[in-house]
Amino acid sequence: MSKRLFIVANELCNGCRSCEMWCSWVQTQEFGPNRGLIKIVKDSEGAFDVPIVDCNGDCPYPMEQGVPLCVEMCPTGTLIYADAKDTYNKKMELFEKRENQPLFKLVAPWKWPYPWKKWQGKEG
Amino acid sequence: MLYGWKGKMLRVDLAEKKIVKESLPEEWMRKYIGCRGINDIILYNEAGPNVHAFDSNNRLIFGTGPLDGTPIGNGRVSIQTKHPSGYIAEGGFGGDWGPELKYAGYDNIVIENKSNKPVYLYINDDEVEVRDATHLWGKDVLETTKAIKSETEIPDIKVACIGPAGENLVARAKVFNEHHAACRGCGTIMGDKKLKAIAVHGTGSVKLSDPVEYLRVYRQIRQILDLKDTADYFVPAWSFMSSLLMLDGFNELGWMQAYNAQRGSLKNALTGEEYIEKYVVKPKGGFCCIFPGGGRRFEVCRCHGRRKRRGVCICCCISGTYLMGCITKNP
Repeated sequence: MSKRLFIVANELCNGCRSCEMWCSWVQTQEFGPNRGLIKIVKDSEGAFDVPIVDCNGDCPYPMEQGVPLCVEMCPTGTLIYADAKDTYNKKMELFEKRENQPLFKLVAPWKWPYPWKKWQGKEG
Repeated sequence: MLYGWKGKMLRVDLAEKKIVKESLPEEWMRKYIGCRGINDIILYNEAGPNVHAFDSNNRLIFGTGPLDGTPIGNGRVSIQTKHPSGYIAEGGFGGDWGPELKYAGYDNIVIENKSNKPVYLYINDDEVEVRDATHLWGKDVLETTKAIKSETEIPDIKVACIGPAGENLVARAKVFNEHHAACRGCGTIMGDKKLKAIAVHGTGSVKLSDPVEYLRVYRQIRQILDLKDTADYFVPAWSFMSSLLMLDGFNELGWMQAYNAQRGSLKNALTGEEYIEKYVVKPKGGFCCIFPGGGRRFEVCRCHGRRKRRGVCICCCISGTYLMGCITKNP
């Protein structure tokens, strides 16, 4: 199965618009709204942020780290570049964890270590 | 024109309802860099050190910097004016309002004089109007934002506004942009000038001199702050807890503002971790913020049931933490 851009869960999105901005950079080499293929829809009360993706995964910019820039820059792990099977597994993993833990704890568990008190980084 | 800048400044006379688009001197861009620097020179040149905060000569200046509208800029805006206490009030907020002003084509907005009735400033690219805001006066921030969005029929218009505190000239009133706030009493002067809100929508873009080099530098910054690799213990802790990280310390030092700032510390105050467990329901990010949980959405109805189905969002705001931290374990 071919890889493309998927949204793991809308509730993970924190509305930072990094993906929207970097997509516009990829398309036009400028930063601006409505220039890329991703748009973040926000609620004024902050209840939800929804990424709208209109992309088939063929990113014109070379993927230096194996993923497109929008996925690389997403701080929460809302966007993933994967095939349908991996996306299904990721969604199921999130769904199972979501039952026992608040969302805040689940934000990007594969991107950064939680809980931070158990973090074991290099010293220096 | 220099890259990163739009090179234009909006001057709005609220008494005459006159709007002038001026070009920003290149010397200022190079010498004062932007944001606070340019605001300061405008305030100094036009209002001077002896102006009183409530004089019509006082200026209220909103400024962005050359990196605003790009991910490194993080959407920061600086608001400057003379405060009733005599100092220069400098408030700053993040969020989407600053980038939107750049996309609309302006770097700064200078507000002059006072209006005789409540108004709001509507900016949609080249279309700039001073509109009546009598119907918005008395509304809180969320209500005002919603009303302007529905009135203008632009769902993603960005609104910076004051609430009832600013309208009633409370000395430390803030200017809000959704869940971001600019402190130090800038809202007081906005209320004095009867300017309820500034709504901005832009469709332009910010151009870079060397886009590829920009990406390289941005990756370098991310690498320094990468939560997995950073050598700084503070970074992952801050990215998750934000200013709640300091709650315990504030309580011990007596810096909380409980019971309307009558008490500095509380016996049963919640710790930062308990806070997140109990009340935080959603992470919120500032514009292109690289920390996943720098901002938070609190569900107030879970606290005391005073407001049903409404949440409060607070970013890395320390003053907000003082106040939210005053909820005890057994309310």
